[in-house]
Amino acid sequence: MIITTEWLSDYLSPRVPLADLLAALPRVGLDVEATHVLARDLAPVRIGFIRSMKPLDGSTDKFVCGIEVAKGDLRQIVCASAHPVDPGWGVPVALAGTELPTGVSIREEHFHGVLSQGMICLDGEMGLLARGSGLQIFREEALLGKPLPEATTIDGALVHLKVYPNRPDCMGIIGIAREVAAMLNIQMVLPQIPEPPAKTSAAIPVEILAPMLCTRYTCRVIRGVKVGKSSPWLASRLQATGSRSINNVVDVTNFVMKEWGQPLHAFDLEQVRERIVVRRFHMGESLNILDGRTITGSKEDSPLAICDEYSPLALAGIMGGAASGISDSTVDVLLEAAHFEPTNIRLSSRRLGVSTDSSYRFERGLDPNETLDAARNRATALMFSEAGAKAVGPVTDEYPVPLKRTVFPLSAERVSGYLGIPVTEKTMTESLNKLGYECSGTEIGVPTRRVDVNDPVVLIEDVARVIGYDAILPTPSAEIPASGALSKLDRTRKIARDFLVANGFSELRGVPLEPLNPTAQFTQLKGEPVTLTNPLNADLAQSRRSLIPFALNTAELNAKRRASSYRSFEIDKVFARSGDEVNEQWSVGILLGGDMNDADWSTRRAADFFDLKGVVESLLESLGLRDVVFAPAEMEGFAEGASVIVNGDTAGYIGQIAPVLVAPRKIQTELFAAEIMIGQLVSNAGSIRAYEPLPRFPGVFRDLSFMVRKDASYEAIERSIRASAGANVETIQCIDVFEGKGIAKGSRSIAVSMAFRATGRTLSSEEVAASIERVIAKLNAEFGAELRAT
Amino acid sequence: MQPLDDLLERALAQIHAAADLAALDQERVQFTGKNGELTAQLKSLGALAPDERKARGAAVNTAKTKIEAALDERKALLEKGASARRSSLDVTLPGRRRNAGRIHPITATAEAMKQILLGLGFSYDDYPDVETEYYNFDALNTPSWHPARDLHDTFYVGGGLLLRTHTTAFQGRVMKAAAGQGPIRAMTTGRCYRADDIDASHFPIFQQLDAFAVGHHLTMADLRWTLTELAKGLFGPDAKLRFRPSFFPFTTPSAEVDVSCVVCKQQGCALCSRTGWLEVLGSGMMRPEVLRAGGFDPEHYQGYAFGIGVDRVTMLRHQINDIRLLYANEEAFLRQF
Repeated sequence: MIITTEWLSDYLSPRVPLADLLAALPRVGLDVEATHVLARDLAPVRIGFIRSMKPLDGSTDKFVCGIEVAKGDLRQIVCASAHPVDPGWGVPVALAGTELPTGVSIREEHFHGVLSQGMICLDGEMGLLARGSGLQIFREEALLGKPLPEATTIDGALVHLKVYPNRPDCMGIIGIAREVAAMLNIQMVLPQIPEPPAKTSAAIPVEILAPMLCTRYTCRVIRGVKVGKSSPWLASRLQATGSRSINNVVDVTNFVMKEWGQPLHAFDLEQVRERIVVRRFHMGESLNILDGRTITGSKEDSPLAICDEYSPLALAGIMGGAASGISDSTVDVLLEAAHFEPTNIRLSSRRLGVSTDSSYRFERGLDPNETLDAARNRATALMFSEAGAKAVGPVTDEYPVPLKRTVFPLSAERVSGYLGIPVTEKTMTESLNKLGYECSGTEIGVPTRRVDVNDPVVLIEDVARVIGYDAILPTPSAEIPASGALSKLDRTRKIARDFLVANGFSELRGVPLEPLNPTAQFTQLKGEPVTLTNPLNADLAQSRRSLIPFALNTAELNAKRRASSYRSFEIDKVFARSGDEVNEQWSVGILLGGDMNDADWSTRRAADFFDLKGVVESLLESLGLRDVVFAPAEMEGFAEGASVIVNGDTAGYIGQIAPVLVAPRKIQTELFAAEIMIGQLVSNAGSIRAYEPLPRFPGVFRDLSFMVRKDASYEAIERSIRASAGANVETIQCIDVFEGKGIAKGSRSIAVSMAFRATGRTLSSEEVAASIERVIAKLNAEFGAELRAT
Repeated sequence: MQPLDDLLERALAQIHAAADLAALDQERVQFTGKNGELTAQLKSLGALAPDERKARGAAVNTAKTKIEAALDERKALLEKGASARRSSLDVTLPGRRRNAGRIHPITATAEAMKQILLGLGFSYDDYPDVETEYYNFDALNTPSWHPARDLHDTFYVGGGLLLRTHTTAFQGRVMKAAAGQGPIRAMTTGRCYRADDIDASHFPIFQQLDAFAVGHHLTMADLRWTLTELAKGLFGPDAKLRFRPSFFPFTTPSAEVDVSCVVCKQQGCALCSRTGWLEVLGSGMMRPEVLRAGGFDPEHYQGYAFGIGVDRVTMLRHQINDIRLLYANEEAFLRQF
């Protein structure tokens, strides 16, 4: 919504400086999106002199003007006859490329093939209220090329603001004036509404057949209007606030809507047969509305229509019908001021895809009482002064169940106890009175325009707004809180994050939505993807099921930037669903590849599977998870790899990303990835362990090197050693694996280092030797292993 | 006869360069040994005239004292294990290093907020991204017909489920778990989703942090205190806050909160559009409807709530002008934090 401070000032007394006015708007709670101080922001508009003028070929109402916009700089501008112009006049000109404060951008355009390089600006088009004819005319040649604000005094600002949905009463400038007056502690002045000078008895009867949807319907006949151009003060107010001027009758209704917030409708009385009936569209009944579309009644949820005896005339509260509107030949008008149930207007507007200034207001809820009456009376008076009305009939008023004021009890104690500052009853009632409440002691009567006041807390907010939020001083609570705690999941994530960062992995923050059917899913989750029914675009169509695709995308991006090593991780959720059950799993995704070191001039080495495996092992160990097994397994997207089994349950996967997925991304190295479902490990992770006493007797250390069939897994070998070495074996560590030269084909050489230790005594070398004997014999029996050296 | 100064200088330099005790002993022999250079000087004194001998003798003795002191000092150092400078070690070559990993600035910002709020008694937990319409809207006083739903362009996933449009959705879940028993101080952070077109300040996915407190006497002044503490922790002790009336269906009074511009210290700059203030969060006193939906009696309980755009605060803290940078994860970007 656009307002001008000059227009706003019409309803304020005394006049206040612009800065105060602008400062008051946010205090009201209006969301100010842009403020254009016109004396500053109209500087791009300059005075140009019309040097030549001729009618535009093929047009009846346009002229081609040669306009000198700076000494010797002649431009061609096509102008319409909204205001007469003459050669020799100096006028405000906005050249192509200018953006006017109203938001209109001036561009080069062609009219009937003739180039127009700018626009002659009427006052309203620039956001100004018309002072005279609506076009500022300059005679002094010295002003040629001068910015408009230097040529004449310009006051006020154009403010683009958003009214929050709770305050439809501020969707008229009077509503805003009431609030601003309260904030600035000045008077609001309502416009004078003179009694109509002439009356007629002509009236149209009204019947409301849908009283749930139309709370009140009033209308009156206005005779003898002369449809024509609006006067400059009226047209400029509409133009400055972003609307077009159409004709005086329609402009009056639009002006009153902008002034009071109450939409009105003017029918050509000649098109209204017998009476007005407010009902839903009948099945199959149709209406052509003003935007050229046809609305047809369907079986259910037909929209509400304003009908005459025979057929619909208008889409109630949303848009008028094409046939029943004001035309140049209209003489008699039926002026409607009604109140419609907001939700129904909203649903119809959504369903039909028609949103108008009118529906926007009705769907937020309006005042069926004083505001509605005032708006109708104001429009009636303006029909006389602006549209030459001759006489007006009595008001037909159908209002089956009048809406009464609600009354809420509110004590100063409650206000103080809510805001946390002392507020006296005097301050409370004075504040509320300024906003139009009727306070009788602690009983607060709420004006019916305040549709948002459904609880006394809203009154407290109003008090707070009037005294100013700044009066609420920060005060620590008297209620001392219990200490805050982190969740176990959060602690687990933090351990994982800190571990990975300390080990050189950088954290990513990915996009949690992915395309449908990504090339490789990498997912460990069962079930269907969580797909969006209304995606923004094809790339963001379902919740991701693995963290690896994003890591891969990032690697591709960094490869373009000549990255030589890839170490990243992300901790986030992955998603799947079966029916209405959605599985959200916290996951850690880790990517590793390329140079192990970033700076290395002597021992460069590329990361491999076992580098990443070591990271995963240490990560799980840092989480306090010791029962970890890696079992060979296949996974979509990986060339080879293993399931990570923690405490007997599969908790993740680790492997080499399939080269077919890496090579096309111009990544010149092998990539390895692991994804661990960290969420399911939380119950076992990070628990506080009791300490184990440190060994007090010396250990005995033996290395063993043997040849063994290649198909014997290291895990099986270690298990065999542990089983045969006896209770005193403390650790078994693989220290070398070799195959190739000097080793028989199909075999490999493995060396392990073993530590033996007994609790409570020193082991003898004989005992250890006996253990080693058993180990060798068992390895030989199980795997045909042959000893190389000890 | 060589000049004494030269000899002293040479001796001290060589003693300093001695790599180990054996080398040092060689230096001792060379200078103060039985046939050492300095000993030779002493021996040659006899050949001088008596008055010349006296002056020369004093100088030689001073030099001897200095050399012996240097020998002792060097010996003590070498005995403590200081290794000698080896000419083969070029200490200026770069270290063999693996760059430290970095925490993403969004996480770092969220963690900083959590840390401050933890200290103010708020407990942390996580809540679903895929949320019900009930918790995301209805329980927050935003029924289906409410115009406020227009403010959210919601992604739906079918079955009455949606991707949460704000972490505020957690309020109902926390209150339900509390079963009508206060006090509550709870916080969460996580992904939120809105069908915004992507530009420098909008991304359809963003991160929020939400917190709320329910107690018998909590007031707007408490809220203001809590947010002031949070702002000071995040933006420094000089951070000032400004509260502006606003609207959220789930709070009344509602306040939009601005923090004094972190860049220009309110002198006016591009970041704050020369206003001196930056919009950082929304807050307010919890609506009675919301408390009631959560099983709390608004006659006995009052609460406050606030929600912060973590991405936005991250951008402000680091003066990042394009939200897309946060989600591109370019290494050159991440390395800066």
